Amino acid sequence: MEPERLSLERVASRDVGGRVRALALALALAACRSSSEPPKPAPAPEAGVAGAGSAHTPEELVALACTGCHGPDLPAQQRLTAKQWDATVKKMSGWGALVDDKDVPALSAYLASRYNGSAAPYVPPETSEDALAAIEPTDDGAYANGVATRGRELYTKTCGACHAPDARGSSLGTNLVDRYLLFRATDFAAIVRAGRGRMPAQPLRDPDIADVLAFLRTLGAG
Amino acid sequence: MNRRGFLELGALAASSAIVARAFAGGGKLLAYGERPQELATPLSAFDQLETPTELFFIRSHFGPPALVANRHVKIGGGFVKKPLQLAVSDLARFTEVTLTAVLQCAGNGRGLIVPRVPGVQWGHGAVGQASWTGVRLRDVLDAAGLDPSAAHVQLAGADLPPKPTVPAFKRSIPIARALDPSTLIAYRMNGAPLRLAHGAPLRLIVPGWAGNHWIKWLAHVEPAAEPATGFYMEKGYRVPKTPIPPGTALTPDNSEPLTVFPVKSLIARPGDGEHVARGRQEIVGVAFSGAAAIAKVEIQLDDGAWQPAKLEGEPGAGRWQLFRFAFDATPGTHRAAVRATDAAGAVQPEHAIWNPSGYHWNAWHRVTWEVA
Repeated sequence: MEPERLSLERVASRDVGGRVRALALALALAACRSSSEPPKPAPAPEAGVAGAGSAHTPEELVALACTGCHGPDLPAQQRLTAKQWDATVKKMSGWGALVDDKDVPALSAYLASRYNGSAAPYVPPETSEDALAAIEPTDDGAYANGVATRGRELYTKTCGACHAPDARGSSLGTNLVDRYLLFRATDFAAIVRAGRGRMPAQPLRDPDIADVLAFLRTLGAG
Repeated sequence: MNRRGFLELGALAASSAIVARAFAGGGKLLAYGERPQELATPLSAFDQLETPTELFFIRSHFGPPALVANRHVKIGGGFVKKPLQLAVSDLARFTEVTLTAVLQCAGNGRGLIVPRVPGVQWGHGAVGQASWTGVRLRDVLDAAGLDPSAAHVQLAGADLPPKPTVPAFKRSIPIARALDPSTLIAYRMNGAPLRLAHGAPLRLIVPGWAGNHWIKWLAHVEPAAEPATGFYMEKGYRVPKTPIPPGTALTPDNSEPLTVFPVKSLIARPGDGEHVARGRQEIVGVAFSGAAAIAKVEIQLDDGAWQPAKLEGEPGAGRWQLFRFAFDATPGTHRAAVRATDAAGAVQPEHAIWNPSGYHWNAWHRVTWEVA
């Protein structure tokens, strides 16, 4: 794990730049190799779709840059000019959104082409479930009785390279400390197994997820 | 999860009536964001003095932390003699207070601002009124031995940014606002324990001030000589000191932190685009101002003269009253606009003042409906 950590520190010490995506994929793949089942890599790059030198389609750029921290409904409801989109993407990039500098124009142009003042009004959908309950703790079910010491080891191998050794997030992964999701084990497991944004699917077994949850819960509230 | 937020409406050629009905909602929260939850109250719910908790809007920057029932709020820093760590159960030694107050997101109405600005594109629904129960922040600061030279109280919740590169959400309020008897650390909402989405176990209540001061999942209270620093004080949640032309950037000199929300009224029914039967009808809604009690609410029906509506409920700064305006509806298309005036003399304007983040939208609310 040490080489991965060193790579991560190098990434974190600089602005989001040209090598971040390659490092992210490398780290993700390295993390996958340590899990108990065969890895499912992040989406395969497609050459040149988004613009000069880009390895991703615009849709992929949105998914990779935006959806780690918030849902795609947030960009979809904006009605902004090209200049406003450019400023927004640059602001988010400055906050750690994972988009290569060379992809910023393509991402901004794509968003501006879809979500501008000429687009149809955004209609917020009605929530389909009890929104208050949707974030509150659920029964641990198959993820009960995890062992934190085992979870720490597994976390370090599988998650820590991106989510940081202390789980407080890095330029690659989001903070996992003191999150409501830690007490919604089934939802947590679903995200781990499906992946999200830049995070590839992690096909962990139920007891492994229970252990990781038990460890993350020890990092608890301050 | 509900995926309809990704629906593209271009192909549906949505009429304005369809859009208006969707904004009005049908008794469920409306999703402007599912992760983190950015959920709006349907307009149709604004015909009540107390917004039901299950329909009360939800907003945060980073989504909720874990639900920890005994999570402590730390009262600390160099301007208290006796730092405290208090969980809900520790607050029993203070006098319990219940008050009714409007909670409104600073960005409520952002989606209606022209020219458009970035951010959660709220329609009308990032506002509600509830009863809040807790203890006075003043009493807690007294117990901590507040240094009288403190000029501000810096505040933070337990919600951590998703990445270390994302600025933490920190605000401060001036000491006078902190010591105001209406400023509470609350643990109940509408008579029931706070839910996680609304800040459980403890949140700040700052009646009359925009929601960004009502810190959820309250974790840190630190009296200080200076205001808090960082993005959410120095760049976010600021408004121009005087109106500026659209497109003008804010600077530290031409802007200031927003605080009190301005006078505003909203029509709950009839809903925009609604079809109703002829006969005796009522225009019903809410009116509120952060600065003062509501003095009057006026309705302009079918572009006629402004006429007074009847007010219900207890008047007060930072709380809303219901208004009702009855009339006999004849068949055809009808239009209404509403404007409120507060006791300080502020009148709800025809057009909201543009600002780069779309804060404090409070233009006349207009609806158009059909009588069969």
